[in-house]
Amino acid sequence: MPYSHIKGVVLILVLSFALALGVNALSSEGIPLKGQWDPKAGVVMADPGKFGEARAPELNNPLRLRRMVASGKLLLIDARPEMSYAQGHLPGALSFPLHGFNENLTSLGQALARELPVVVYCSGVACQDSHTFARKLVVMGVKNVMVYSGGFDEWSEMGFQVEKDEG
Amino acid sequence: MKADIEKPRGLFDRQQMNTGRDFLLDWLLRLVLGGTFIYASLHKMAFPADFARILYGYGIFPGSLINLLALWVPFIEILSGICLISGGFGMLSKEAGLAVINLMLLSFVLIIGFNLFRGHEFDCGCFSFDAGPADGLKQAAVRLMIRDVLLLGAGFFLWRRFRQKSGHADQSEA
Repeated sequence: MPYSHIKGVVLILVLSFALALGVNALSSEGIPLKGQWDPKAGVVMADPGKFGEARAPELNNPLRLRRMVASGKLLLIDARPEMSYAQGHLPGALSFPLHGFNENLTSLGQALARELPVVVYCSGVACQDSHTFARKLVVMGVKNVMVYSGGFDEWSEMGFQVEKDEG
Repeated sequence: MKADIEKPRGLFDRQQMNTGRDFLLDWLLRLVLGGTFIYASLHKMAFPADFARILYGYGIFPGSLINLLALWVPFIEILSGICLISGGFGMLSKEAGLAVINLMLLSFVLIIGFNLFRGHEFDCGCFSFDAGPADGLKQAAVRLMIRDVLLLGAGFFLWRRFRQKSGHADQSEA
């Protein structure tokens, strides 16, 4: 490849990098230069700070969650779509899909009235629906909301009990 | 005396027709390759967090680089696509744009091939991040691989034509 083309390639790379940083700094969809991509540390995401103070703490220990589920003293919310819930869910979990949050507010309010600790989960560490759902609860003023970061994938991989909808 | 008579070089002259056909073919290839890259970059530029999640799903990039790549790659795509289609601006030549596009296509083919080889399912997120493919991620990855190999073939073909042209230009200058 001629030297002038190599210089052109380098210029494209440098210019695009500068443009990317500039546009990212000005964009409302901008992300930090480093994200949270360690699945052992919890839900992975490009912008761990985007939920701000309304970010619910994460529950990263499936054994602890199993003890809580066994005690029955928690409100377990499955934020996945209805079809995923029907195919299998954590024991005692209630289906409140994130996409239908506003439509289900009445039944959600009834479930929250018992004032139990709330644990929200979705499919796994790469899914942010649980955090988005939990944030809505925190903003509504619900206390003691947590996110189970491993989600349904980790629970079933651990070989823990899974419930399925009859019929 | 007969040998001195030149053939008329009109509208239907074979050489001119070949030149016109070459010009059209070059333009078409530049438009397809550059247009594909520009189009593919738009969603990624608008939603870098979603593209970063897609990159994480490939399972080969170090966590510390994922956000940087998610920000940088779409701008490399759009800039190289613009250089190729427009014909370039000074050092940002169409040849440099095509070289970047070919290098990126080669990287995509190697990465997708590696993931298919090891049986790692992933969502390519090449054009949008909405619904996943209806017929499964593996089939989508195979389709994507075929598309990228075809584009890479077109890219190398166009690179050869650029090189031939610059060779002819050098010869005529000398």
